[in-house]
Amino acid sequence: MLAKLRKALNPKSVAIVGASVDQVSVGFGPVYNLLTSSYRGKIYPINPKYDKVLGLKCYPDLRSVGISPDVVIILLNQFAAVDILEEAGKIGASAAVIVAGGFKEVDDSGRALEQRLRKISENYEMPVIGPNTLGFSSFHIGFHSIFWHFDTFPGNVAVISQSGGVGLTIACSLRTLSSGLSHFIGVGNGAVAGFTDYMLALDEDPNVKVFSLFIEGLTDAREFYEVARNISRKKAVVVYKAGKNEEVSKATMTHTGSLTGEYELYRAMFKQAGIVEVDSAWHAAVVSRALGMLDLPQGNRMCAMTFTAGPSIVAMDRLLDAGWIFPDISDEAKKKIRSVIGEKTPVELQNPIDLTGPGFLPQNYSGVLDVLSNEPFDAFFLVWSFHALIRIPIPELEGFVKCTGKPVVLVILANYDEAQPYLEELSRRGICCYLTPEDGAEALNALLARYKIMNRDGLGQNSTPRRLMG
Amino acid sequence: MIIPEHEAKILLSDWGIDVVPTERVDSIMNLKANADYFGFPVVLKLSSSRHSHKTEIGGVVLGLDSYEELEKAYVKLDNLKRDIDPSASIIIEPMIEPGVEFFLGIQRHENFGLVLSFGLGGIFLELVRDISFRLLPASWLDLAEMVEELRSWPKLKEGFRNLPPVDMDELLTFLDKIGDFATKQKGLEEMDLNPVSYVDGKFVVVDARIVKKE
Repeated sequence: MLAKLRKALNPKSVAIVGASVDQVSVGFGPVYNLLTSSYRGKIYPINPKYDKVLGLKCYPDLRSVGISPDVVIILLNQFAAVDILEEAGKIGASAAVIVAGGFKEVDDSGRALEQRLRKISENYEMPVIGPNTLGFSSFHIGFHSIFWHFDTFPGNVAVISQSGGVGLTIACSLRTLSSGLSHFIGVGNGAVAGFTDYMLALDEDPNVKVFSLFIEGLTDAREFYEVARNISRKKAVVVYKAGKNEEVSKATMTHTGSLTGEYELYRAMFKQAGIVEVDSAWHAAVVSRALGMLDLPQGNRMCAMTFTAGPSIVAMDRLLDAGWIFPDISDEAKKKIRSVIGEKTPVELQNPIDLTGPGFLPQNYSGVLDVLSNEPFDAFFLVWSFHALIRIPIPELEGFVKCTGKPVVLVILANYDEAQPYLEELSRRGICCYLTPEDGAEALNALLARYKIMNRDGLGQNSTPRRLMG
Repeated sequence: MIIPEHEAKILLSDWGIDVVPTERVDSIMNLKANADYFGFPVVLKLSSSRHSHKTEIGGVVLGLDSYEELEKAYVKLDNLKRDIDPSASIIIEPMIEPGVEFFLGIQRHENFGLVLSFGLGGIFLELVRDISFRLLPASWLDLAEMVEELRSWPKLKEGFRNLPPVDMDELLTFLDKIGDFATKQKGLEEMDLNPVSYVDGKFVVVDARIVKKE
């Protein structure tokens, strides 16, 4: 099953049952999205009503396609979908997606229908994605096949979500931050394939650096734990878990039909599995972006620099909580910084470094960065306060990031509309940027958490855990 | 199936876990001999495979200081035994000096598998609910992180008020041993060790409740 799921996530051919020319039908989206992406595999729209769909030859049924597609996307209602699933099995399709809802999340007859779906999947050893899902997309091959709209570009974060809506929110938040996706997978009811199957299927994929999951509830938390614990040694796993109090648990139960377990056990399990837990869709995006873009620190010595004090103070609150320390800069560096910002600037040089007045000049800002690149820090938190008439020292920042080889997070204090073009450019140049000090701090905290996870290995019984400084 | 307390303590003790010494008594003579051996004050308990929550049914008598008190308590428990579970045993234990009291639980959860819970015990368990959880088996580091999650840990390790500072290595050794016990016991469904007392640098199981699959 796993090999087939891998094949389906990287398909060379796709049949779309229920393809439609009606723009507001779910049958339109997958064909349209595939045609407007760079997908180079074979697309077989299927609908007896049409000869052609968006210029592609349309087939009356699956059998007439004459090949065994790597994946069949079924866009029909739940009853018809299960019948078509049987046909897909007969023609030897590797896998199928069932978009329709109306299964275990609804009632007993839905549960019975889902049971039948599972049986067909077992009989043909054909993994099923969904039901009750937006579908999936593999962006590095332009396989943008979900039926809804969303704008992204190839990146290294795989979003796997039990809810299409929250998954899209994470994906869109990543796009807002100028980060792309490797995959988007709507787990839906997870009747056959679940989180662990998708993570295992993408485990070796070099395009995936971060798994960003939204989980409502797991039916086999122990299995998830065993798999996630191994995967988190290789790739970052970020989880946003819903249903933290009992009321919400009830809501999730009616939503996907899976009983949400005790949140405390989930938290402990996530921690033990080496998962970075987040508490909002935006937070998931902030953290996934940093983990996808930046190298891990090799310790917890943080240097912060700003020319307006407050942002670094609020960031420090969070950074200190996570275990970062702020060692003082050397006397020699202080002397050099003094010569950049001038003897008369009324400021005591320490870490965080507040350049105050003269700091907003690009040549001063970058001059101090030069000095800091030789200091023994493990990560940098930089604040730049946007001004329309003052140049952001982008090339200098890029040089600094490249020459330190350490994680650097830049926070630009600006409104999104003004900052947006700069965010894109900074991102292209490998500079990880956010618009609030809190987001910047959370990004760095995730890197430190990940560093700690990566350094858990090799700890035998009775050995003292490796201690960070501080 | 509830394992009677004295048998549960034998299981734990065989695994190298410190428990408060326990003796079954079946006569007044026997009772006095054991009290002499342990020294006053002592505790009498009803150890039953039907009723695991002894305190609620009046099956625990603490702080017995003389033969007279002891005899009275014995008669009371003997009557209780006849009423609720003739197959139960009456057990005698020394009162151990008060230390830091912890709670330790094992649960076979249908979704998460074997789960270890650990926190402040005794009456504080329900009052402050300072507990953390880990799935078993857990590594040494998992256990260390589990302990550090307790809100009261920073104070406990320093020695809160007149309590002795709790030694982390000793605690981890204890938790590791319990984890090992739980993963290797056949059919273990539930285990409550409450309280586990930290006395003289050691963790001692004061009360144990084990439930196994039939």
